[in-house]
Amino acid sequence: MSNILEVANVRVRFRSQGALQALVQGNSDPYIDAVRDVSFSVKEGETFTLVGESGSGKSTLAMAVAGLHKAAEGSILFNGDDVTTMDDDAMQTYRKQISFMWQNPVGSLSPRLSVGSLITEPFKIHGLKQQDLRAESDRLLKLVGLPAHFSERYPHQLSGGQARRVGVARALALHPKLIIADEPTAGLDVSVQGEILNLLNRLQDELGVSMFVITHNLNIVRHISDQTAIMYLGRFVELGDTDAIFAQAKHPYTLALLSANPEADPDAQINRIELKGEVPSLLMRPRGCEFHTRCPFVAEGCDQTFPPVHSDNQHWLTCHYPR
Amino acid sequence: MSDNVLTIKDLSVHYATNAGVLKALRHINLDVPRGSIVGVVGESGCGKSTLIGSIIRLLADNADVPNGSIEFEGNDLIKLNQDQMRAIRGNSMSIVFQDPMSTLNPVLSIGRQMVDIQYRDKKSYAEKLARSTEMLASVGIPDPAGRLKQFPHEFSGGMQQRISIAMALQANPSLLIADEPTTALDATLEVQIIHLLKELQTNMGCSILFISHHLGVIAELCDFVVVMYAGEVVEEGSVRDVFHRPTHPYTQKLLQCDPAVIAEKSRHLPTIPGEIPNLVEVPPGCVFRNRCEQAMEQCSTVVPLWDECRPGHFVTCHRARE
Repeated sequence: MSNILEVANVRVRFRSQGALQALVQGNSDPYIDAVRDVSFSVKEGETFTLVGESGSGKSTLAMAVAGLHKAAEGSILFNGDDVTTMDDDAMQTYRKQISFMWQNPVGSLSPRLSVGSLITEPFKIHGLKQQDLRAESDRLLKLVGLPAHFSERYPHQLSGGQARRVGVARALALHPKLIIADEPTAGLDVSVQGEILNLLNRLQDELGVSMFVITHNLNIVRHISDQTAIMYLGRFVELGDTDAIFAQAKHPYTLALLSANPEADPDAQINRIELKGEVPSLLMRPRGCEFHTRCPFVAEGCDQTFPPVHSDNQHWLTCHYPR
Repeated sequence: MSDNVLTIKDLSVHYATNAGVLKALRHINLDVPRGSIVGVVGESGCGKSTLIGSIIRLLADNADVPNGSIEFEGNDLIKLNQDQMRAIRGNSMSIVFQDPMSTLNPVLSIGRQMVDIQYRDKKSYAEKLARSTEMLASVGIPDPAGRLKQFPHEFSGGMQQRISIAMALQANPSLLIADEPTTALDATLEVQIIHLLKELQTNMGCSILFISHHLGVIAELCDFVVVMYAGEVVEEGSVRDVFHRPTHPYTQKLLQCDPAVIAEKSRHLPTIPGEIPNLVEVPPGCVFRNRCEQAMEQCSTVVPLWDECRPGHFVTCHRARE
């Protein structure tokens, strides 16, 4: 199967100081790297999941893929075309083929528009006025399992799960080839989380759409994802087939995330890998391995040199002492 | 004196809305034994926030409490006036909210805020500052004296939540209400906060009423669990009873359908079909029956009683004794 998205060595930078301030303080590089040297690819019809904690650069990377942030280095190839060098016309065509599901299900819907207008808005934006919008709205609502009369409702009349379904319908409007979903289950009740994950899986089976999913909950990933990457401080620390990550994660950070899931059993014996402290600032990245300040297995050399890359059989990670 | 810090008996809360009277809580019974952690689990719309609001008496203006009592340290909170209530809030009862960023005032330093909330004590500023330093240290913030001068935006989310816990515990309350304190945090920080709460509870001996929709967190932290659904308590008991032998169909479903708990890879996850009933016109019989797979004929007519199916394990279900 061919790759629909190929991301190579992407770096996204933000300015941290003004030009004058940087000059006065003698700072020759007044930038922070929110995403640094990230490479991955998404196969057609597959789901790629990106896992990481707040501030790890997940959403920044997703926005770079959607062309909303400019990548400072590297290339983002969508069906062979480089997103980073697209002109406005090409960008508009590109955006017709991808769609974004934003994090906050209710907040990403305009409170002044009815559900029917919301899910047919993409047609208007892309100038597809000849479509029968009424029929399209009915089709999309049916696709995500909502009754047709919901098109009359307004976002405040929806529950969190229903609002998320409307977000999915809106993302599907233009038959996209790639859906970028930022935290599709965040803020939803556990019983509704399952519904949304089932919905995403069903749509992928029916429509063959590729998905790029972002989440901080590693434990929901195994149900939807084919490939998983773990991100820490803007870099990937581990990347591989989802089954391999769950069966034999090797990076201490991945192991910590996996074990951080409290089990619904009061007598469960959890061999928890607990992380100390907080995520370091992007302004002062730790020397050597960037995870060594919180790593429970820190050993000689971790604070000195950047860890080597281990790569075999589609399983990639950077660590001095993989488990 | 009973050995309960908080005893809620037959509490109902109604809201007057345009659509009619919304019966948000109906005949709630809940005990918080002294020195224990009681978890309240339930999904959106089950009345968790209304329950907290009625305990701290900060309900919306259109709320009405037609019956019930909330006994706390010998007082019925429902009968107290605003001044008496103000003397209790933040003193013998305090609360940690879900979002630490909106709990803290962004334009005042942490130290100032921590000193301000000790306004009841007749101590000098220096003594209050020392107390604040001590509290910050006890929640594991490095260099507490130095960080008192900093502002909320200079702390990460996990640290902000530690600070709000420190502030809530400053007056040595006998009851701490924690309203989803880990929901806004990442998984690894969530674990840190749970351990911190458990440690502080052991050291300071306060009781905690812990509200969450995360079953795993409840199982790990709490001694007793109360499961709420659509404004009613459907099951109550010790953590082991409820998690090992869930008796109410809703609890059973809830435990089965958490996608994070299902270890087998599955593209068809179990869900609870249907929706929460309209609480303006509460349907007769069992409130869960239209989503229940085990519903019988009498479920649609007879309201199930609050029944002790095993010692200390209560449930409202017609099939509880099967």
